[in-house]
Amino acid sequence: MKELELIVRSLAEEAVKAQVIVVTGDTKVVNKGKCDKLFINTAGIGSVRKENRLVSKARNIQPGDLIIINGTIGDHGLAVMSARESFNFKTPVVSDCASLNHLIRQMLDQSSRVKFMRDPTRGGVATVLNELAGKTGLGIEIDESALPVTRGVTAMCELLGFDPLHIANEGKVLIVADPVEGDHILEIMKKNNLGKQSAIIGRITGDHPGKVMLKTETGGRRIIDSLTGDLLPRIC
Amino acid sequence: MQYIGEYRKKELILAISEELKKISKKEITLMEVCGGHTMAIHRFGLQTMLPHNIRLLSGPGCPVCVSSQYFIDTAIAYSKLPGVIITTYGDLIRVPGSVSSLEKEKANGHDIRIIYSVLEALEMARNNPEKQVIFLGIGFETTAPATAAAIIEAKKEKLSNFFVLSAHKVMPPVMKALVEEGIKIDGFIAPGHVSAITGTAIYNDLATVCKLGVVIAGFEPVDLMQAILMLVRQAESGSPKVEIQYRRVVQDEGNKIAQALLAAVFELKDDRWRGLGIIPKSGLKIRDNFSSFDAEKHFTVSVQEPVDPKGCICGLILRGLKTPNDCSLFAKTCTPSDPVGACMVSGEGTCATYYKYRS
Repeated sequence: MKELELIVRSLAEEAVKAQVIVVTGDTKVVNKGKCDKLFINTAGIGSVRKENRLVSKARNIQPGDLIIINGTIGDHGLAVMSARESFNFKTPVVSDCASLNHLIRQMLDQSSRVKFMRDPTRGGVATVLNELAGKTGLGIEIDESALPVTRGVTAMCELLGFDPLHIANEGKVLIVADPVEGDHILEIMKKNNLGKQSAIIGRITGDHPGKVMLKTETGGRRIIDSLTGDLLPRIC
Repeated sequence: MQYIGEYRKKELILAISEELKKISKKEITLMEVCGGHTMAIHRFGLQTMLPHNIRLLSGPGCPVCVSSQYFIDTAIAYSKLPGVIITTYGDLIRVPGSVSSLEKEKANGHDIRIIYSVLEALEMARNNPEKQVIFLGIGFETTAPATAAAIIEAKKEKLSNFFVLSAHKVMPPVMKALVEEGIKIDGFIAPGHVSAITGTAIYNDLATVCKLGVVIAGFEPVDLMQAILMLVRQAESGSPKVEIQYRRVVQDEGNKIAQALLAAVFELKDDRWRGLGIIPKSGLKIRDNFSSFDAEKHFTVSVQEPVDPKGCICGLILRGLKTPNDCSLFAKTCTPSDPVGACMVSGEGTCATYYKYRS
């Protein structure tokens, strides 16, 4: 019961923060042993403004457009993994769960040059970028040194052999924007608490169509693929 | 991060790249035999920084890729026994056996758990005395001492429910086997963590008898670029020898304590390698005085002699004799999400790498 109270309280707090109204709810009780913990399902309803109806469609994207993210990547996936698995090390990594509606509203209100938005959840930033490259038939170039990653996530990825680009996020939005307003959009994002570490991480290009290329910190280049299957800690 | 950042410095890597372009005249092929090296080379895009006359070839040093179908089939058979918990390093679970994989068996409800260290398997055995915990021991001289230490600890604690299915292997015999089969290379980028345990002497024959350069390398981009430079210098001056690039970790005589652990618990056996067949004295078997921890002695399961998948040419690819493009299964029935052969299994395998970079 204590756990339920805690969860309901944080539900309420988040709803206030996001200015979302919880309109209804229902509970189901099942036989003992048929459901070991609490499960919560939610469905949200919202509306897309007419002038922004293309932001989920990946149309009008052109070489030169910028790719922007609102902060550090990989935090959520690793936080969940370290809570779930029995790793013998402690990590300072915490989930980035957040409601992004205010941040997104501010961007869309103040700029008409946001061309595309997507939440890089399961499969991480790499998977969204590959979908985008596939859909547009254009290439994408990402600059590794521009990727915001916390020290904790970097260290855990080194230990487990993961790539932060493949790890799930919860409070992140990946944006494609017209370069004309790139700096302006970045400025708007940085004014919001959930966008303080926003960064331009790459751009759309006419080269290598359909592929996502990473310019590595060390000056090399490699292709970034989507995540296949689950992330597995590697032996070497 | 300290002690890592220094070895990823762009200026250093570019400087070595320039030096290579200046001094490297001959066409040379170098083989890296460690999965960790293959991974680092691709992760940092090092191939794009080498002159065209230097070719890198991936050898059979990914412990996951070389685990035999027979080993996987045995582990799957164990997982179906009542009261058994299978513990394994994560990347092994996707490796295909004859008809299934550990991942599929886990989805079928068998108790297969991913662990990060063999010590977690020991802990699981202590905490679940009613269960029998089997650890799937894979890896070379690098991971085998930890398995040996766990077995010694289990004996000390008189644990009767901890077992190891050993597919541990040693590095030199397979390298020699490749050379004897006539693979055309000029030198080896040798795995630094193997030599951290074994020291350098294991490669002396390769240099003196086979006339191949061997440079024991670390795993960061500067390490690998420097190792390649050392091998190119050897090739250009025609003086193959064993050298250590990874000085901050590797000593000539290796780690005596780990060597003693290995010798106490394991002895050499002829072992199966996926795609390469049986290589004499290339595997590690648990000695008789520790046989109560040997899963193969304790559990009886019947496992069919596996048949190599039809059309798969991984053996030839692992030997550097063919490329994935020569294989009729490549990118058709054999893909990273549904691999047929060894080289497609791990992200570091040759076929998986080719798949990623195919145009």
